[in-house]
Amino acid sequence: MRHVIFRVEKERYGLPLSAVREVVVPPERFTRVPRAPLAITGVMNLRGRVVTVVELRQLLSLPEGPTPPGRVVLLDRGRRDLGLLVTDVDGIEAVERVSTAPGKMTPAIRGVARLGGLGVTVLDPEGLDAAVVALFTHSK
Amino acid sequence: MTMDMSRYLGLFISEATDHLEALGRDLVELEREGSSSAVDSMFRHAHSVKGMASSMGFEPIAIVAHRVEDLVDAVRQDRGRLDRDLVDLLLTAADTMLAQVRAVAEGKQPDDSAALLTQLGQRVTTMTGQAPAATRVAKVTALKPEGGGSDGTGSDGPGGGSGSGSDGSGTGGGAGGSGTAGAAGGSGTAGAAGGSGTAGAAGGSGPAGAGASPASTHGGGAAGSGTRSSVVGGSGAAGGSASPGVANGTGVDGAGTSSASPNLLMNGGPGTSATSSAPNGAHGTSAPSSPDGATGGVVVPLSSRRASDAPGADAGTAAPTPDLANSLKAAASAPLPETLAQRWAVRLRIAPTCQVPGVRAFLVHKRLTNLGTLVELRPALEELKAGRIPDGNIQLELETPAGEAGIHAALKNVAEVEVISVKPAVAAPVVQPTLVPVPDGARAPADTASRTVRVRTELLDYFLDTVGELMLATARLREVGKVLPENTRPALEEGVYRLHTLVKDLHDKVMTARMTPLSLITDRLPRAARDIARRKEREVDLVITGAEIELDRAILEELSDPLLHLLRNCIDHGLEAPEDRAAAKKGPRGRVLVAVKRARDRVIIELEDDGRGMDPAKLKSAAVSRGLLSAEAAARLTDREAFMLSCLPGVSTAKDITDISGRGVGMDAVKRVVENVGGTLEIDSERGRGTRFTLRLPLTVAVVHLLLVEVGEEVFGLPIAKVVGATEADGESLSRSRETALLPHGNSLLPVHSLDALVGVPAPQRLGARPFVVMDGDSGRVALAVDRLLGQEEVVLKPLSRPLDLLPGLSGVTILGSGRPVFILDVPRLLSA
Repeated sequence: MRHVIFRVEKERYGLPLSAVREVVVPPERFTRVPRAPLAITGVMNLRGRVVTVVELRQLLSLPEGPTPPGRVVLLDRGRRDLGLLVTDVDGIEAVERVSTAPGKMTPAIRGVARLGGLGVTVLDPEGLDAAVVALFTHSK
Repeated sequence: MTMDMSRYLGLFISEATDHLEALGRDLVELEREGSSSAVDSMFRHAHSVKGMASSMGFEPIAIVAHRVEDLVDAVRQDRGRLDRDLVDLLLTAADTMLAQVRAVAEGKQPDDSAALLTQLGQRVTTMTGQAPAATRVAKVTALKPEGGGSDGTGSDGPGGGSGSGSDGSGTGGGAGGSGTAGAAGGSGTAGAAGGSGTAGAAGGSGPAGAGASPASTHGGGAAGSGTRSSVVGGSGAAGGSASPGVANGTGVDGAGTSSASPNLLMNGGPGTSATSSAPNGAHGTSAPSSPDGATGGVVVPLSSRRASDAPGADAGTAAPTPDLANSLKAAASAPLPETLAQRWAVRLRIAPTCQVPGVRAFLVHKRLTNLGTLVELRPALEELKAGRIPDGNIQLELETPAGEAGIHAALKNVAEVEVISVKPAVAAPVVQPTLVPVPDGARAPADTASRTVRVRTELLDYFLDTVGELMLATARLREVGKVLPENTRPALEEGVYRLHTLVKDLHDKVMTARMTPLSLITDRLPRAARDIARRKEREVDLVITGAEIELDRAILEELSDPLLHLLRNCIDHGLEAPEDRAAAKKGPRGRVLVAVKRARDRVIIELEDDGRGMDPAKLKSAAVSRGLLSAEAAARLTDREAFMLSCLPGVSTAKDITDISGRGVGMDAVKRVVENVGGTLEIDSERGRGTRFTLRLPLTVAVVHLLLVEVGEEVFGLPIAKVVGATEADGESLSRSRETALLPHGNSLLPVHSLDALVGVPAPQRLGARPFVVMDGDSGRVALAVDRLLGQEEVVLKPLSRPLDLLPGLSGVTILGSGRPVFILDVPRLLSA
């Protein structure tokens, strides 16, 4: 299956192409969302739609650190307007044979795959979605 | 599943969902009123679902539907067999099928629900004394684009082969007919139906499998308006020409895959084909689209009038079989071209001096449609009404038996309109005149049959978003124009102005397209009422009026839950137990009235019960005991204000206050939703007489007036409706009580909240004077400390999408002219959450 490959710092991640609507350059500033969990960078105006942007680093509970706002990967999840803030997007590659990822199991991660001799963490769109909703529901 | 099937899957899902929801409604209605039309209609729905499911190869659904059909048929023969348990069983079956369809929609195989089938089967056996018949299901992969071989009747009737034979128009009807028509009846002569070539028309006669003897030669042609299908231009007419070889046009009933008006049941019995156009029009429009967005669709009426306006829309469907045969004979024997209303080409001009061309044009339209059938109209009616008539010229073609003199007479008294010419016109080969002498006198001009398309709801949302973006872009262009040198400016400004008008016009049209009748949500209420009442062992009559009134889809979607909440409150807590009712000298059956009205630019929904009413004193003491209100403040409240206390979260969930417990379950949510879409909620109640909830709602997505304030680097919108005023004061010099600063306002002291802390946005410490906004909160006024007041603005409210709607304290978001998204705060919720 073809995947969009992007990076958060040096780690590479992939999302099925069918789950990605587009990749955009983030705006100069995001509108902050009142009382939102920390992982929510803010909202942006994408051609008249208000898109919620989530910092992927925080969503996957990676160690803290500034993500230089490189690209926003917009998910195509029905009408849910959700974008992931990532460092950069590498391109589209075919990813086969996904094996279990190391570390704690989370629904957002499907597993790891080998791509051009390097590892890539394959994300699960539905799991990501659930993780975002969980952020909002657990933070209270 | 082959690719071929997936093309029809979406259609199957939405059509089947429509049928099943209608089936549930019919059941509830039947139980209440016992009308025979409901039984027939139920039978039709079950039969259609069976047909669709089997042609799609969804065996589990088809079998359940088949059993339901058997049971309904048994009830049809003997009404006495219908009891509560049977209704329960049938409702469960309908729910199960809905779940199965939903499973299909999610790409899963439907469950075979063996337990239910056993129950259904037993019931069939006990009621009919026969073992349930086997259900034949089409081999999916064998589905071909044409031919009706896989339709429902095919499974137990003489076979659907004749179905394809009846496709006189050859556009591919029957089960496989995709977007185009299955026109049937006769050999495609004038008697055959076909709304501008793409109509959903179906030929059908003879009860499935039974009555239709091979010798029967009447090829009935009936056409549905296809209101709920993706048929474009699906107005239709009935007609039958006695041409042999077209008997048993069963083609369309495999309708899941055929977009030709699947509501039509070609199962003989009901005389669908007896009425002229749009026999199913009313039916189709009232059927709700499926609840989940994936399969949901809205019907956009293309013509000025909706199919439900077509008179006699349902009358024909209830006609017994002999009538069908008679009318078909009548139709067949009617000499065709001679009695045809003649077609006239009329040219008119509205005087250039006319101040109200739109009114005149509308009058002309009205007069002429009274006379006959308007076939063509240029400019279109919408344009005419808006007065957009180039040079005042109007051209139209009219079919009327009135003749030239009649046309002249009709237009004689319309001022400022000059009739230029009235000439006989040549009728196009495929027209849909109301040929058949309609038994019940129903007259449905062709243009009243709704010419509709089914549009995905996402597409409508996309339209609105894009138009919004266009407006934004236009505003930006105008800003750019301001810095141009004087001499180049006018040309650009003119262009921008023109663009602005066009975009506004487009916006209006998009908004119109989004209008959806309230029946979309109220249709679910009778079933819900039955379930709630059954659980509480209460008897309730639910009366719904005005459900045809339309509201913007976005508002409608939000209202679904609140209405259900209110209904539940009315039945659960408003209505007394039967013995209490008897003691209060009321009838044993409770009554809940849902009345929808239109008042200027608002839609008013009233939910009223005749129950025990609310006790303001108890509400007040509840609020006081929760510390939401001081005893003095409570004493000052009017009864009406006291009723609104039930919308406070603390009061509403107070389980220990028996009389009102649960009365407020979700009342705070109801109030919030109503206010978020720009509406208001009022509660009226009289002890012992009942309670009335009044929802006043805007027609379209709310345009709200905001006070924009700045906190730190962020901008927020506060709804002006809730803002009392603004003052400036030195925050440090305010007196305090238990850490809370108090702002003198009028002759009271208001608690001060700093907005930055409330919304969790960092803002630098401020010294000296700063602005405060005084707002209405749920329990009195509050003052909000902000950094700067930026002024007022009128904005279009966007509802919050997931996951933002999970956050408390936000009522929406909007995009300012600068392109910046700004959140609109729900201050009472911010304070309480």
